Amino acid sequence: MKNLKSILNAVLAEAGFLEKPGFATSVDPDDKQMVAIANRMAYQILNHFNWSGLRETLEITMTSATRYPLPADFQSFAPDSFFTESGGFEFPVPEGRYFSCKYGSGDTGGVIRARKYGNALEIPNPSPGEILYLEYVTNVPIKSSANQPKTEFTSDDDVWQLDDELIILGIQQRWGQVKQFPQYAEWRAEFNNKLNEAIGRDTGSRTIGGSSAKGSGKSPYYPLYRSSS
Amino acid sequence: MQAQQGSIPVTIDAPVDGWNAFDSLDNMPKTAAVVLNNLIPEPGRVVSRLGQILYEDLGTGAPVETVASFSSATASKLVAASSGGIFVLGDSAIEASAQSTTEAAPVGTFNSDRWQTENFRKADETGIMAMCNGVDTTQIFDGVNVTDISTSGTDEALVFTPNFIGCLTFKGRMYYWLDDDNAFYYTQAGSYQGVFQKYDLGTFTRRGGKLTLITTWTQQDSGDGKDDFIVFVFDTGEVLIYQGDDPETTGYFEMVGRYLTSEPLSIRGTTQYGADTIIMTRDGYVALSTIIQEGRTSDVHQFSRLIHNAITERTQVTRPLYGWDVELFPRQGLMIFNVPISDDVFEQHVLNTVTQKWTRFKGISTACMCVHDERLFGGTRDGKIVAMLESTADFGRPILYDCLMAFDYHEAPGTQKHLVAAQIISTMSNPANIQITGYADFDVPDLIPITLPVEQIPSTWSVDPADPPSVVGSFWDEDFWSVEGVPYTTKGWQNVSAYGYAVSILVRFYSVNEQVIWRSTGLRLYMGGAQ
Repeated sequence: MKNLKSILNAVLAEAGFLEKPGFATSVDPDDKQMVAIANRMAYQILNHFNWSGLRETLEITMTSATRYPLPADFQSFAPDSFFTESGGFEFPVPEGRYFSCKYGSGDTGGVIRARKYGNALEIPNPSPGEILYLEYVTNVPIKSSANQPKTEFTSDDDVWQLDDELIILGIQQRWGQVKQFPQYAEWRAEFNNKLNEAIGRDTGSRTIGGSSAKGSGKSPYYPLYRSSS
Repeated sequence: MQAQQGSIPVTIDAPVDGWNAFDSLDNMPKTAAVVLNNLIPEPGRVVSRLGQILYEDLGTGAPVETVASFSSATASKLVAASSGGIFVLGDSAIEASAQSTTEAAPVGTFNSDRWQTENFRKADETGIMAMCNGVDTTQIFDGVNVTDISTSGTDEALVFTPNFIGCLTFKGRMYYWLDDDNAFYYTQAGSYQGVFQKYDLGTFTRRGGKLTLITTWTQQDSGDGKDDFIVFVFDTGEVLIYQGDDPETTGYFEMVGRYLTSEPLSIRGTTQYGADTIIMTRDGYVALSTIIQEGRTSDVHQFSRLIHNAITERTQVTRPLYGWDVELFPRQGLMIFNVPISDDVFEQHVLNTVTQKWTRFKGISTACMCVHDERLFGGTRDGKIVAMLESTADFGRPILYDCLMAFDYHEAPGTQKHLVAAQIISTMSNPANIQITGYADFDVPDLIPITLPVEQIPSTWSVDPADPPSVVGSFWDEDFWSVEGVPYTTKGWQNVSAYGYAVSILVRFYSVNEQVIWRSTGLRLYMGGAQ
């Protein structure tokens, strides 16, 4: 994992520009511009995908309270990550059903429902004593040299927590756009390709193909046109 | 240049047209510079000036207000004055300090250190140097000692005190003049003292005033040719030109012209330049030939035309200060005009005599200068003699070089353009140490602080370095190779941002161990794009 100075100097070096001794504390507007572009790209990458590298586990022991504060570094919930041992948990909940649960007097059928409410998780029908397990994505793709989480680069030593090449290519294409370099379009395409690749690597995948239904193996998705029985 | 998509590279020469303080900012040659400090425009390139070394500390702690070159048939010595004393310094090689220092007169002997000097060799003598400060009795320096000038034999009816302020050799005799006077005194032919005669110029002036300086001028050659004239410049700016060699005899010394220029800045503010004489005046540095043709009616043909505004800006404020001086330094092809900014701070307006382009030196604070044995010396305000333009650093400290290039519309004055990158093609060993900042539309805000780079200090290789390491030698695989004598070209684009119709870059760098040659400038910009 590279720090801000290494990332920005990698961008400059690849374009044949001179590397700089530092960026974050420089008063040179061109250095400030590089830092601003880096933060813009960090924000865009962070918000583009729920990166597994930024996931954290959260355990909420339910009480009679209906609202549970979320962590300070909360960015978003990992989809389909809510789990309770009783099994009945719904998130997200369609508006009508949620309000029916929250304000209605009907039977919830043992299903605990929740929604995000500001910086808290609202559970109108908690199951006191039961633990809610969930994963969320943090908003700190950067850490200081002392390993403290950060939401943006403010020091040359700040370390990027995700794919280095992704942010290098992202800054490169953004910087090339600002500078109107003729290779901007190619840089943009490279960044997009890298973004897709990074997402693919992050999610994992399943093999499409393999043995037939009558063979020894049982590929879950093959053959697609036949029954899996 | 048509508007187009994408940024494009543009190449500009180094600022070989030099410092320009005459043309308007929007109509300046693109290879000129609005600011050019410590960078010398040379043919096809710009070179960083060399630095100073300490030649000798006189130990007076007082200003050294005179350095002069004594040259006789048998000796050549540098003479300096400080704290009422006169010191004689032994010669040494370039970049070396003085071998010896002796006192021709101890500290406290004289009341002023502002001596004007002139070498003179009388028949059957090895040569002397006359020294005048306008306060003390004129001194005759013979290479070792100073003695009072002799006036024996002078007609007793001629009552005067020989505390001359200036002296000049002209056609075999010495001419002296007093402060606050409008006459000159001259010796007999072939002599520098003894019988004196007085020649009053007051009746020939129309503006009155006092005689500030005397110099010579020739119309045809660069020496004392057959048409050599003696020129009397008054503090009013009035210039009287005489021809002849015997002021005593009617018909052998007569006025051939009276002209008017602006007030001379200093008794030391004149020098010979080829076939002409340059005088530092309040309106600029003017050639005598120009005074004769233009008088004070035009600045356009002035010798210092290209930096006219910069000179007048200084002279309006600091004209009364001491230190206005000029020296021609042939070894480096420079004419150096010393300009006081305050009592302790000076700058130099410098002409490259080859390209006739100007620059400014900063960081050299000397109140006096002289060329001696092909070296340029100066005196500091704290009792030191410095040898200038010899080392790659100022007393071992880095020198700051800066240049704000001319603002350029890039052939599209009606189109906004975005300057996005720049590079300096030079011999700077680490081009990243060159700081480049973009500016647009003549707006020069506060400068960004420049950081002092950590430079590689070149080593001196030793076959058998001492162990433990000494300052004498260097070790294999441990010390940097010397960059001396390796003027390879380096380059490197840097981020630069400026948005406007006319764009420019400010180039600044420190250097301590190399002389940098600036060969070319690269810009990258695009037209009409949004910022």
